[in-house]
Formats: sequence, structure tokens, C-alpha cells
Amino acid sequence: MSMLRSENVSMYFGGLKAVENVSLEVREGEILSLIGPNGAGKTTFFNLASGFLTPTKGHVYFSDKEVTGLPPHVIASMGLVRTFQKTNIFAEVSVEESVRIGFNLHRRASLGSILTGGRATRDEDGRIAGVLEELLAFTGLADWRKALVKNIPYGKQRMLSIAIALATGPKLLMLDEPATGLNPVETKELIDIILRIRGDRGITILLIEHNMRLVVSISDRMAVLSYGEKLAEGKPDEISRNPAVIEAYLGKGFQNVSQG
Amino acid sequence: MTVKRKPYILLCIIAVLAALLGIPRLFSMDYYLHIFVMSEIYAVLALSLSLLVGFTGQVSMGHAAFYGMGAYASAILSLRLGLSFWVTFWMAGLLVGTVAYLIGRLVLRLRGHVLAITTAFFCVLVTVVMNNWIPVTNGPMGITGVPSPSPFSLFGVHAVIETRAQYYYLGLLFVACVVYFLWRIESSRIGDAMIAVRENEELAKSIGIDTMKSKVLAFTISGALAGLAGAFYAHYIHFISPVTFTINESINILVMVIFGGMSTLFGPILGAVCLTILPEFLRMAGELRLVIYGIALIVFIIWMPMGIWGTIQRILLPKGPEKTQG
Ligand SMILES: Nc1ncnc2c1ncn2[C@@H]1O[C@H](COP(=O)(O)OP(=O)(O)OP(=O)(O)O)[C@@H](O)[C@H]1O
Ligand SMILES: [Mg+2]
Repeated sequence: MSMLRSENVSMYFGGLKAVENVSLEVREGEILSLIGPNGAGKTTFFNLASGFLTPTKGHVYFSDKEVTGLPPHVIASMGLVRTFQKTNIFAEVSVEESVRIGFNLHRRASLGSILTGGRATRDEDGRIAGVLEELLAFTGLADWRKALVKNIPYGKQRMLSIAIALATGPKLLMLDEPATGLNPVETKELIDIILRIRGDRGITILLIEHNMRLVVSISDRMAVLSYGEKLAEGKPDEISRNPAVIEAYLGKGFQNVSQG
Repeated sequence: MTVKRKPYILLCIIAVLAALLGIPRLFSMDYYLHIFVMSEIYAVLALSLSLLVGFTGQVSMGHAAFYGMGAYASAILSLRLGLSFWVTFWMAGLLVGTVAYLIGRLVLRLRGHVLAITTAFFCVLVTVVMNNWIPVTNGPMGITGVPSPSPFSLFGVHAVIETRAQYYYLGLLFVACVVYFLWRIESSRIGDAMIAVRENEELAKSIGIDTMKSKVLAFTISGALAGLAGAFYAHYIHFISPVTFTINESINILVMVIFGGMSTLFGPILGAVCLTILPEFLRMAGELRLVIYGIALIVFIIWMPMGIWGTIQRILLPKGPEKTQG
């Protein structure tokens, strides 16, 4: 079944064709990587799918429902959640509070119950505290829970972005260059976590990443963008053998990685 | 640490409560009591504005407009329709809340200083209406003879609200209810969404938070509470006129919030009380009063960017406040 499907989406900024006629399908349960040179339109594609931009042309479907042009919070509430390429955080609150904010979507206690501190609110708070604990442990942030987000290391902030996204309980998680700026140890942890997000939690993943070693080691399939257009789509080894892709972007280095 | 701090906190609460209840006995002069009642009104105004400015991160310079609308609404309803304060008080809150909702939907697309300027403009507009819609507002002359709350019986006790001390106790109840209300809101999912809006709107949207809805809700609650404060004021002073509700008053309330500490509950109260009492002390300084007041504010804001309460918290808790709620 298709999780996310774009049909001939295009995004023009004035005369610039940032995304041009891209049709792409993300299948349920897979890890699909979107690669391409700088300025290829990868982030723009994320913005189109998640509602931060409305396509100039074309349609986007999520779980077979059309989401083209819906506001971001509506799309997120349907289960499509993305992270950002730049570090995007709630700077002045604690790590714990940040993740709690991520659960907002699933908190329904009525105003009456909130004002009286009634049963529904207390049950909800208790339930969230439990899941929060588990999520902090899962993302390796448990030791940092009380720290203000602006004071924790960069690598932890990147991980926190993922934790916040996971708190919303997404069906599709779209990660925009999560490994940027991470050291080799952190990158390895990230790979492990991405695999477990898919494996243990059954969440489909669409990943933008420049780190080829990472991409090749975890992707089921890959898609390549170049100058806004989709150049190729397929299994990692197919992509690495595709002459057009090698020509446009990958070069020799990639072949070494994928074959070695 | 929490174990050691608990009894100490409880003791503090009891002491503060006793002091608050004892104030009318300690300061029986009408002049002092008046300052305390005004402190209560400003506490509600500062608290309500802090939900919007401190908690949700949206600067408004229009708070005095909602305060004034509440005062006029309650005064006019009680004088024209002969309704009791106990009814018009709530009607004023409802009415001003509705106006705040509509204005909020309109202006909250704007951000930062554009929002500040637009709300300032709204405040000026409301003053213009108060001055010129003479058949209803009586123009610059204002409205006189706003009645005291009607006598009432509660649990067999017959009570009137007429003396300063009686207003003081009613005001105390009012502040306590507002604090409770805001505390529940701010520590709930609704408050979480507001913090998210303040911290990072883009990230908030990406995790499914309807940021516009949160902002409008904060604006509505904030406006409605200011309207209630206005109703209380009108029936306390018995006279209202447009000069009370100008942009200067908006700025005054905003300064109280910043001065006391924005994103806590105690900060705005402290700011309101200090900045209501301080100018009275400075009366002795005569002409120099405004200059001293201004300098004091600047010094405070430079030295204590988190407000007085934020600074006290930082000193008491070695690691600094970890959460944004107070
Ligand atoms: N909001 C915008 N307004 C105008 N131009 C934009 C906007 N967003 C992106 N672009 C342009 O669209 C093109 C694609 O940008 P995009 O950020 O999608 O690339 P990318 O593939 O994510 O690149 P990178 O690997 O560097 O992150 C670039 O030329 C960029 O300058
Ligand atoms: Mg990008």
C-alpha cells in the first residue's frame, strides 16, 4: 500500500523550478532515501508533502487521501511528520517538556476536566508520563531530561527533534539530513535508531541524507533528484549502477562504498 | 531537595495567606486600602496579559482596550438595564471575550512589532469610540454613579460590598480564582501548545499544533479576564471615563508583566503590586517622580532581564528554573 504518493508535483519560485514534475511513491513499511546534489529540491519536496508549501502544480496523497495544500498541522495530525534540515528546537524549555509538547496531538482532556484537575486529565498525564519515559530512553535522552534544550550538545538536539516527532505517533516519518554534523559514534547510534523506528515501531521512513554510507546501509529503496527532477528510483545497487545517476551526482566514490 | 523544601514552602504559603487576609487590619486607612485594591486589579490585568505575552509570546499593546470595554460594558448594562453587578460582571467578561476572539482572528496573523503596533492602534481606536459615541458612553465626561455590587446572601450570611476592606476581600478572591484558572490552563495541553507557539511556530505546526488556534485562544482568555477586571474596577470606583483606558495604561500593564517576570504566575502579580505601590511612594519626590520611576524601571530591566521573580527563582534554585512554569 502506498503511504505517500506525489503525482507530477512542481514548485516554482518565480522562474526557479525547485521541483519539477516529481512523481514518487513511498510504500508502507519501507525506508526510502531521497538523495541528490545541493539545491536539487529535496527539502522543497518535504515542504510540499508536509504542507509547508503548496505545490504550483500536481497532487500529493497521504494514505490515499489527497493532502495537497492542507495546512501543516492538519497533515501532521493525519500521521505525516517531518523534521527539519536546520536545527529546529524549543530552546527555552527542558528536554522533557519538549517531548511532552510532542504528545499534544493525542491529548484530548476537555476544558472542564483541565480546570477541575479531573480524572480524565490525571489519567492522561499519567499515560503520557509513561510513554514519555520510554521515548526518552529509546532516544538516549533520559540523562538530559531536566536540561534546557538550548544547553544540550548539538547531537542531542538533533536526536531530540526525532524524539519530538516520534511523540506525535507518526505513520510516516520524514527526516531531513538527520546525520548532518554528527560524529561517527553519533551517526552509528542514529542508524540504529532509524532501523528500530521502522523495525520495532513499524513507522515508514522517508530520509534525505548526504552521508552515502548511511543511506546505502539502511535504505530499502532510493530516489534521486537533480535540478528538481526525479532522475532515478530503485534499489541501492540499481541506483549505484545507473549511469545517469553516476553522471549527475554520485561519481566514483559512491561505487566504492556500495560495492565495498 | 524536594523533601526538605516542602514544609518550608507550606510555611511560606500560610504566612503569605495570613498577611494577605490581615492587610485590612494592618492598614485600615482608606488611602492604603485603595492602593491594595488597585494592586489586585492590576494583578489580574498583568496575569491575563502574561498568558498572551509571556506564555504564548505574542506582544499586545491593546490590553487597556479590553479592560476599558469590560468597565464600560458592565457600567452601561447595570445602569441602563438595572442589572446587578453579579450578572453584568460575567456579561462583561463574555462580551469582551467575544470581541477579543474576533480581533484576535484578525490581527494574530501578524507577528512581533507589527502585531504590537496594530494592537496599539486598536487601543487608540477604542478610546476614540469611548470619547465619541456619546449616546452610549457619555463621551469624555464618562459615566458616573456605577452602583456597588448588590447585597447577597451566601450560606445564610448576608453580605454587602461597600467599604474598601470589603472590596479588598472580593478582589483577593478574584485574583485567587484567576491564578487558579491560569495555573490549570498553563499546566495543561493547552498551555503546552502555547509554549510551543512562543518557542518555535514552525516546529509547533510540524507536530500537529494549530498555532493560530492557540494564539486566538490566548488572546480571547486574556481579553476576557481583562474585561472582568474592568467590570470590577467600574463598580469599585463608581466612575469611569476614557482617560483611564488609553494606550498609556496598556504600556503600564505590559511593563508590570516584563518587570515581574513574564512566564510565571507569581511574576506578574509581583510586578503589578510593586508598580502600583512604587509610584505612590514616589509622590514624596514630587516633580522628580516620573524620572525616578523611569530610571528604576530601566535599572531593573537591565539587571533582571527575567523579571524580579525569575531572578529570585534563579537564586533559590542553584541550577536555575528548569521549566517555564512557575
Ligand atoms: N522559499 C524559497 N524561496 C525561493 N527559493 C527557494 C525557497 N526554498 C528553496 N528555494 C530554492 O529551491 C532550490 C531547491 O532548494 P532545496 O532546499 O529544496 O534543495 P535541497 O535539495 O534540499 O538542497 P540541500 O542538499 O542543500 O539541502 C534551491 O535553488 C533553493 O535556493
Ligand atoms: Mg535540503
